[in-house]
Amino acid sequence: MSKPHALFVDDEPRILDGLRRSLRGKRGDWDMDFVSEGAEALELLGQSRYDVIVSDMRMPGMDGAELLTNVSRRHPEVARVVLSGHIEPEATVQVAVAGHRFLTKPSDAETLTAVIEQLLVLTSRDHPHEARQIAGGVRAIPTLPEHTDRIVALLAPEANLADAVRTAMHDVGLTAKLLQLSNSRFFGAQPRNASVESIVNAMGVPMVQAVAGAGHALRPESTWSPTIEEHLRAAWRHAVATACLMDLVASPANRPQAQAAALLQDVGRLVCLAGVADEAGSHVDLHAQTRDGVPFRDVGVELLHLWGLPTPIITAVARRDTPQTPEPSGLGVAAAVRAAHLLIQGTRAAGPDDGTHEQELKQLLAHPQLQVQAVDWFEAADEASRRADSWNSRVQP
Amino acid sequence: MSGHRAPQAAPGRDDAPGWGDPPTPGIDARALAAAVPHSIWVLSPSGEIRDANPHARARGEGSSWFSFLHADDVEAVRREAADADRAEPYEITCGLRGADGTFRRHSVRFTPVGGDGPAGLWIATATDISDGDAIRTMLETLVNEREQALAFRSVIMEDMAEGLFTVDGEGRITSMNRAAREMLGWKEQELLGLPAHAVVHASPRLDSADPGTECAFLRMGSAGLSAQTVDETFTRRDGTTFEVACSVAPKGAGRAGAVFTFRDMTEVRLAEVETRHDQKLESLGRLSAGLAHEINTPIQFVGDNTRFLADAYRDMLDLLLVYRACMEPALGEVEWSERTRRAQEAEDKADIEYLAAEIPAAVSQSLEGVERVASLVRAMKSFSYKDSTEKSYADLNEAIETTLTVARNEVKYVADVVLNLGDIPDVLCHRGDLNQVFLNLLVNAADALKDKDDRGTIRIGSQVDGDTVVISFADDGPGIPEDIQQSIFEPFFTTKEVGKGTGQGLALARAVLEQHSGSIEVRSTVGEGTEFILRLPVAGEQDASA
Repeated sequence: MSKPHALFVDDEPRILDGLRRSLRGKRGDWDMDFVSEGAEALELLGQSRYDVIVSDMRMPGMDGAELLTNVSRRHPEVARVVLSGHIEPEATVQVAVAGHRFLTKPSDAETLTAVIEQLLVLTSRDHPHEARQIAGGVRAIPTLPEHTDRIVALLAPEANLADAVRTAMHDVGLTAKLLQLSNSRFFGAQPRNASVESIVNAMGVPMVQAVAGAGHALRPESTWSPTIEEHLRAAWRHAVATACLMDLVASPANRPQAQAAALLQDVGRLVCLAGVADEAGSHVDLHAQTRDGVPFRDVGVELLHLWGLPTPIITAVARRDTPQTPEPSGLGVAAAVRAAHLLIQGTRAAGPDDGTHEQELKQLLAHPQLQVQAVDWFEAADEASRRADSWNSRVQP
Repeated sequence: MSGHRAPQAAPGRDDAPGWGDPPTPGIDARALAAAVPHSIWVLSPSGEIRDANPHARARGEGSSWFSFLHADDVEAVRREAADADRAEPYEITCGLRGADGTFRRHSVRFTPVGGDGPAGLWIATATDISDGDAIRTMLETLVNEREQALAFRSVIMEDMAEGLFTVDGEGRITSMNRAAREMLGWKEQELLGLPAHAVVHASPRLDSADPGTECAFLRMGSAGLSAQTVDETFTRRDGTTFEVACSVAPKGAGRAGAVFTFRDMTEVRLAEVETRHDQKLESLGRLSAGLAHEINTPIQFVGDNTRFLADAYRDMLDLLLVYRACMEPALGEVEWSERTRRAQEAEDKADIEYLAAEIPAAVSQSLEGVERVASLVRAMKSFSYKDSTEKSYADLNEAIETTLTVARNEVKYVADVVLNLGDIPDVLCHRGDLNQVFLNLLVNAADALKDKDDRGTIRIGSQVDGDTVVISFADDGPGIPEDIQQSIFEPFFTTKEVGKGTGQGLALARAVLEQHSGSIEVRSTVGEGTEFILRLPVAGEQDASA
């Protein structure tokens, strides 16, 4: 097994010298290359296998955004890290959609090492490289026409903070991007389990607009077949309904992450289905829920891992289809997502089914945390499903 | 319907010249009556027609004079006739029917004849005045309108926001409006007849030997010059002063005197200062992002190098400890070869060759990084030089280099900068303001080159031309289309997208150059590039004789 391979790109030779020296301690673990130009980096990537690329943003000639976008197309399996000294938000957002992780200069070697080591971990047990290959190429989560309307409305100059929060909390793509960005160092220190609401409030409308706009500009031009679009719509509706139900199912402390995990639960399914039109030769098996033999769920988890989302969210997404036996002391994020998912499966917003889980649902509903609430859970699930429907209907002009 | 007594010296009286006794032979009263182009009747007191001249008869049949009278006037004529018992001539105006049956306005004069009292006869002569009536109505309308216009004008003049006063040929105040009273703090009657110059100009000027000739303002009023606008400082009653924009117009039509209108410019000047401040903040905001990058880069590699040096120190220390252990006398019997082997092993582990090569480089690069930050901080300090109100002498070449240092990050990705700085004397100037101008020009040049396919070139030059320093900023960007070249110096004019520029940069540059009695001009050819040329008098102001 060859050593992991990392590539560092910066137009400032002093930076490369410094990185080379400060990462010298890892020379036994990694192979490292240092180049000062984007074109040179692409050349090296074409010659040998790399696992991670760390790039500056502003460089003469090919800049970081262009380089990383190129890498995402030609070498999707290479994890992309931005290391930039620039602080202006607009430029930051531009690159944020091209990279997986973002570090600001100055960053110490320990931080950089930790990020690289995280990215060297592949999450899929059975299809590690294939899942990385598919997830690595994803730059934005597909958006349906009705959600595009919401995003466009959010981009309007008169959009306010409340609109931004509402839109972000119901939008799979925006939720994912905001969590990805907030977990990086670009926006200062954010609490680790920040809710989408608090992220939006902290970022402010213009920044959220910039993020939404960048994602909006990136959305695939391709149109899907009506069948695929219906599947995407169903997955989206299921996600929003589950997230709505989280208001009741998750404990207040877990709610932000549980809601995010609920929204992102089928993110693998979304990107795999949407990617069908983009890449010729890829095969999606709707029954087995796989793309090129890789389960949708593995792709989704790998994507969230690449984007650096908080571990509890990734775990909850990974374990959504696994029966759960939570501790009596608390439901936790994963079991809350599982419980809400099973409840929504009994509504109009049900997703593709993998069998009945009546017994498990009964046990989950008997959990002390849910038991104490005087709630008719099935009615609450129906209500959540209706809310998801109304959110998913097109915005009236 | 108006009736009025006829004036005593009414025209057409018998004693008028040319109508004395004896009558002209062959011309009798009947012939005369037939010749006049007016209607003449002989009437009984009740209005029965006893006789009528041909002009009157042409109106048609009728035994009573009242049958010719317009129905609307009958009442008034009867009232007038009843009042006429003193048997004196009187006149009325009324409508009379003509030959064609239409009514026209007439002035009718009734003259009593043939004995005293109501029993006597009356001669009525009717003159058609309908044309004259129309003219009078028109005149009345015109007069009314004129009065309204005058009233309107005085309301405007009194209530307009600008101060207004008028002076006579000697420059003495003849009137002033409310705004002028309020701005100056005087009552109108306190100032009437006083010289305007003495009132509104600060007292220090009054103390001067010949205030009148110094005051262009005063000359204006009397010399009948054409209207002009001047910036002035006026003095209030309490001695405080304020800036005004004052326009002076001669009263015109050959009359001596002038009308002065003026506006308090205090707010406008404040707004200008604020705009300039805003522009500085805007460019500062943009600069700070670039400066952060310029500082973050050396901080990053200085940190990395220092961390490496810490590791290297530990490796060297480990090696040293091995050496020391090898030297330990307690080792006693250990073979020399074994000691060499241990030392060699430790040296290999520490990679001593690498350390020996890299440590000096890491140290020198760290020092270089620290110097980079230090020089940047020095440039920032120099750039944000706080001007005092007075100008001071400054080395503009150094100012250009400073600006280039702080704006390096704005330029380095798009262009190479070629400096061609000549040997120029220090210039008396507001250095902070000029730094800002240089920055605006540099950033504009960089922005112009942003969309160029390959790297552009910015050339900055300085040279002396007599008493003037000439500084130029040239880029080989897309150039400025001729039709907007004149607009670029106007405030708020910008070709940058919304949010990228406020359109104040060049407006500010021009204002600053004007403040220095200098100039800024643009030469640009589409497809070739743009050059801004700044001229600054070395002495800070234009030589008065020039």
